[in-house]
Amino acid sequence: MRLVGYADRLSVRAGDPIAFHISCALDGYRPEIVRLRRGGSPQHDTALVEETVASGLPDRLPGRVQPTTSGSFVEAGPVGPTDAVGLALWFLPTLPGTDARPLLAVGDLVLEVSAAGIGLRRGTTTLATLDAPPTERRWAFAAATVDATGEVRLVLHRPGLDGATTTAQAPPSATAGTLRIGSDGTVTGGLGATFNGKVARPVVSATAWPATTTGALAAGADPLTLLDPATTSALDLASDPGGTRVPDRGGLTAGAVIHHLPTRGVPGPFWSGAETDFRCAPNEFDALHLHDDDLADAGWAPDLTWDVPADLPSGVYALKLSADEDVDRIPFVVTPARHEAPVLVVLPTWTYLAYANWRTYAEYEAERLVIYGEARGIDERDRWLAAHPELGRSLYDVHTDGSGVCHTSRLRPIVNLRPDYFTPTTRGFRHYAQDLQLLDWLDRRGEHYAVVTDDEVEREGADLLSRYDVVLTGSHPEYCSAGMLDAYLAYTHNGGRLMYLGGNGFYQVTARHPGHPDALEIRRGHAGVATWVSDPGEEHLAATGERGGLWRMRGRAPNVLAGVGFTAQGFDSGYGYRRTAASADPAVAWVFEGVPAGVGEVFGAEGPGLGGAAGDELDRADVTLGTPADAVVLASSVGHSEKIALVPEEVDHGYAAPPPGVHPKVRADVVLLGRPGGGAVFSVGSIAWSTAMTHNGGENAVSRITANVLDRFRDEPGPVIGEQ
Amino acid sequence: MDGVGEQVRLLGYGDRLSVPAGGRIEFKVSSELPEFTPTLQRLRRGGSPVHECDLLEEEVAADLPATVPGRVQVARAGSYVEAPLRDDVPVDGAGLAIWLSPTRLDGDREQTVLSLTAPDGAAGYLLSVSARGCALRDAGGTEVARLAVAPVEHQWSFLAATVSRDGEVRLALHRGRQSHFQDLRGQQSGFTDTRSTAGWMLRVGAGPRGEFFNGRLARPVVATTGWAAEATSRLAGGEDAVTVLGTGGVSALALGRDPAAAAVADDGSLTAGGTAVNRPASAVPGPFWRCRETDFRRVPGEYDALHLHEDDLDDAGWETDVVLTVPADGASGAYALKITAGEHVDRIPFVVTPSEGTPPAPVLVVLPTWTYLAYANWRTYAEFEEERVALYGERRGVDPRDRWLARHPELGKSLYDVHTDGSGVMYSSRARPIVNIRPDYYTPTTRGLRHFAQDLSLLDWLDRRGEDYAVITDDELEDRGADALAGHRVVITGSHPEYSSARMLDAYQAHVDSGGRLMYLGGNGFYHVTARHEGPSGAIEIRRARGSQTAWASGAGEEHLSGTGEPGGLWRWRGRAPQRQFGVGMTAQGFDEASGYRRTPQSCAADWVFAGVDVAVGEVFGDEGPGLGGAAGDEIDRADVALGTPADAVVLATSVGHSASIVLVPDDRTISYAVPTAPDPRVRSDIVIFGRPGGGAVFAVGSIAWSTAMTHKGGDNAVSRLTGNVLDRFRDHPDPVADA
Repeated sequence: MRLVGYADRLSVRAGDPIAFHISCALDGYRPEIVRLRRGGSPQHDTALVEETVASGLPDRLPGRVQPTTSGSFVEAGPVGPTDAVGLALWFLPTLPGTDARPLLAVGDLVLEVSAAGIGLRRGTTTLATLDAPPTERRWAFAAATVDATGEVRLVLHRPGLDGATTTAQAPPSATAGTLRIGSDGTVTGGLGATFNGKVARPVVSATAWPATTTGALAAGADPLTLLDPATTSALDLASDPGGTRVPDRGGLTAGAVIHHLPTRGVPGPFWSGAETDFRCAPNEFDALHLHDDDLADAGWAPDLTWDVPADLPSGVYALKLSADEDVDRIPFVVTPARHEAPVLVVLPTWTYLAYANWRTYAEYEAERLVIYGEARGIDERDRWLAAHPELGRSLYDVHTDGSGVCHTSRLRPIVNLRPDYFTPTTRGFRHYAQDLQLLDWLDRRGEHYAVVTDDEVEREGADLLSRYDVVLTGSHPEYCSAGMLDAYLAYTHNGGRLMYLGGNGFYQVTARHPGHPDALEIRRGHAGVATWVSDPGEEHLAATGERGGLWRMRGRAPNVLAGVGFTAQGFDSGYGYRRTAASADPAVAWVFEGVPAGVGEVFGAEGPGLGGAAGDELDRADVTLGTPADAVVLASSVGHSEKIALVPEEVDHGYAAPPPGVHPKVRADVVLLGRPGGGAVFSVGSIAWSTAMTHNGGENAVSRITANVLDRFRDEPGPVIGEQ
Repeated sequence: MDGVGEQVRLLGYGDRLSVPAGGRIEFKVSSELPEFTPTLQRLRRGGSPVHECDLLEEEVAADLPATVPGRVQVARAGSYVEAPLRDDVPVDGAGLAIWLSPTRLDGDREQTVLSLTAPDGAAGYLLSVSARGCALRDAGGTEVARLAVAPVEHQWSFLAATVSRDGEVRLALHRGRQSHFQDLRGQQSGFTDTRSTAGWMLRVGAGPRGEFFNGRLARPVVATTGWAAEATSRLAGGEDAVTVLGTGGVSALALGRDPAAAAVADDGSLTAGGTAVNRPASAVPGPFWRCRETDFRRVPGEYDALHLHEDDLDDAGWETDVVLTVPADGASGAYALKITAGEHVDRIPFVVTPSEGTPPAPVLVVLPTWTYLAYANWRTYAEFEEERVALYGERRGVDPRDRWLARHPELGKSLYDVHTDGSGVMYSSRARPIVNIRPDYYTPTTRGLRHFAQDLSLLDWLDRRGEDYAVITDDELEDRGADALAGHRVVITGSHPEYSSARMLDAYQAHVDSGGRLMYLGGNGFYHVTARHEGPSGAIEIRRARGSQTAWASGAGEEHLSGTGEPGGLWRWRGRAPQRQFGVGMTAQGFDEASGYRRTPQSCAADWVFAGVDVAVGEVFGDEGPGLGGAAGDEIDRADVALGTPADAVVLATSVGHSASIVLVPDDRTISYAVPTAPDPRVRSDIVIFGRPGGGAVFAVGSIAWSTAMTHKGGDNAVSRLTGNVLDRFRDHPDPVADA
């Protein structure tokens, strides 16, 4: 992509400024603000619809290439100049290779490690090397001292093995500069040349300590009991796991900054295993896990800032960049300056970020043929992305060392958060581009609505939601904080009406990172549909300390809030729903007004994409998981193929043979429930629903049902279960 | 075997699984026969007519009666809390309230959630629920009030009943945010005359005749006077009972406050506290769990529930029929009290451990009794007999005692079973008859010997070699830590030491770190976080954490052990994968066939291991034998440096030729879009040896089937010889590993 960019936020209140960061390999480009009315592209069944908004932006801006360098590291100092120096660090290499990576550096003096052993260099001059391979994924302790005469001593201690030591003579030289862990300060663009692995207990001293001190450090002694605290750095990596700064327990530096969100709250070399929650044994969780593809902020300079007019209607917009054939649209939501509309749409931006720059479409194109049973093609931007690992990964990817990605930031170009992005999983629309179809549907109905994102719900909670009669979710609001769940629950318990028009929502424990508020954090735990699992002792979010994984395992299955919760997924096809007998009760039959399908008949079995309203990821009602006992199941999906698989947390235990045919838990349920005080929830239990709403120009049962519910929810106070 | 011995008419248990020489052990026997004969037997080898080998036992002289009169003793399953009322509490009505989350509403069967009854049954009330609704009955069973609304399964409801002095009755159910009431006037109060409350009993989750409740209960409140409707609302809103009602004449049993204890404190003064009977599950979240924390130690007040099951059994509580004082000079080993009445026989096993002060034998065998208990009375052989045919690819039969057991749910379950409400069994006690810890028990999984009966084969092998050895169990290791191993040059494990505490792992570590040698002659060892509870039943506890795909999975917020507070699940997820200490760790299982091992080129570094074994590098050995027919089978372990196998460990041999039925454990399953390699290279058993600084050493075979294969051809086989080479070297040679 020769023209690509990102905004400093995903949503902006009308009247506030938003800044854009652009990299352009062409001479220049034309910036425009557009309102996005509908997603699409020539590759989709649908054309993109956008309207230019008068913006006062210049006609043309000059292009410049802005590089990105990934890789997390720690930086403190400066230190020195000093004639003698000691460096020591515990490390656990996760991807030892032939090229050396920096462990600990002061200025140009670098202690580094490769698969062959450790070395010490000054600039490009090697001072000493020690051929003693560290063991992959095992803690080892490296130390280097250089005294005033230039005598170098290198030590590698590998628990359970004999120690290795070497000495060498170098010309005496002063050491000075920034103290870094995992980096030597080189910034080259692309994947960082930083260390992959865990690091703990760094020690830097402005003295060359004796060998006995090295031995004591390797045995776990506190460096400040061995070395003069005034001339020693002992950065406390266990401190404030949700922050980006750590104090120095010694006096050599004023503390350090942790760059690019390495994984924190990670057990260190002296973890006893007694506790798995870093809050219960903070001193044992004194490690960082550094990755050369960590990225918290691409760090590009801003190219333009736009002050959003205070009277601009709330909705979805983009900065459209054009240069001949090259086009990029940087999306953002304009949130309402005043809450006047009856209807609010919450775009699940946290889920968009969870999937941001998901790389497996390009990486596993061939393997996905088997999953889909057909070739669906991919978005060309995904192929380009595969050549740019430095642009960070999604929460479904793994790092270069195979460990799971726990953080995702919006301060970077995100190629799949685009109105014309083609998703193979659904043969076209998913996430952001799909949610634009819902807005298009609202526009065609002439609805008066406002749009916000997960960020506003997380920040303003039930106060925000309570300004609206009806709140609509996007198609896949999977990633939520406790505060967001609290907000929706409080809203519906205080008279609010929620339309959950998606699938696999409210599923995964997620938090905004306090040190990097533009980034989110999760831990996968060991359950659920996941593409990686957390390492031992790493299931608590550094951001909050809370246990990560599924909300279900925290006692908050989605069913409690929404009446339905994630049950199955599969991507061969979408399917229809069969109306239940209960749906004929006059108290709820109003939902089906104008829908030809009678009780026992199937609707929603057609449409674009997967070709049905019940598809992609599916949710079911289950009282034992918290669905309110008086919730009414109006319809349940039918006809699923064996490719629609039950989620792992629902797979039956025991020796009993599974029921024949499609598992009865493999289904999407459409549910209506009322709450005391007039609150209500309508849930459709399927990601594919809002895509199916567009079928036949919006003339279809799924669209009609949604409209019936929206009209009643918006206009009629009092219990929703009851004749109209 | 069908139809043979399906009636177990003679059965018993000891009050412990191990006793030091000179110590005392009591046996509890149920006999449908008029009398039986007890004898003391040393168990030399397991077996039976349906096994491929015979049982070997030797009678040992002991001071036992010639015959003992038989009597039938029964177990009573079902957990509840009972608390006797203090004497002389004034009574002029009743208030009963409790939070409940039922897990098995069952038609119109009424399950009692709370009862308050006089000793003669003449007075009192029972509050119960069924799928039809809620009921208040008097002690005679007469219905006083009823609501036709049932609580919702797996959701919290609040149920309260009050009876005033003048017969005003109010029954209220708060379900979700909705309330249902029945108000009645002019009822006969159950407590018309104030009388002494001596002998009165308050029960939570049961009535005086059982009627057990299945599910969660929290915050029980009982008063000997009715309270106002407003007080019910306040209790339903979560207010503390003592704040609402005071302490006088009020009981507010603090369920869950001390999750490790059977004693339950009362915050009111109506009782002096109660006792939890039959070990209901504690450390489970209550109705006011905020879902912020999943560790009960961080929010103890939110874990104010117990999970009761009608099939919980802790201590069967049988009377003692035989007392044995083990001879002070009795050799350490495996023994049984053999009880015989005509053709009916039972052998109640126990281990005689060395008495204090005995010089340590050079060899010590640790029998994995915690694992025996984890599998104790495992019911799925009989319950899923047909399904297992597919699993095995053949019909292997079932021990008839298992079929009998299926008709006796009151004898408790194994940690692989689920309760009648579908929730997992977290506790297993030794104070009950256990039909599958028997020297002649037939295990279909292995076509014969497994666990205790198999481990006897190892003792037989040691006997035939003339080894000087002692035997202890997991209990001694837990009691004494590293001291239990100290002085023994070689420690040998059983075939399947899966369930371990941190203290047990620490003990093995200390043994090896201080120069001791360890032979881990099994598979799937040191895998599952386990704790033992205080008290005579010796119950062990586990949680199956993190979405376990084995047998059952712990519920939300229930992954910490009530006994210790520690996180449950696999040791691997606590950073203590078995590979770290033992070189290998659980990797795969399957039960169609066992395989052999191929010798590795690296094994030349420890050539002595193969002395006298006719196997060159690259050749296969151990692919024959009884049971599954090879040495690498059942559950198998692999070496993996990334999981902690020491980098200098030598893999001597690796199993080969496994079928597709031998499957990787779920904890290792790779999650990726990449097409998996088939067969998975991690499906293998590794034989590993490594030394430690100071002369310590570990030899691990990574397979449960190993010690069964050692018996092949009367012990004349490569597996046996190789084990013998390692034992000799470990016992006698100062340098444990490198070629001499």
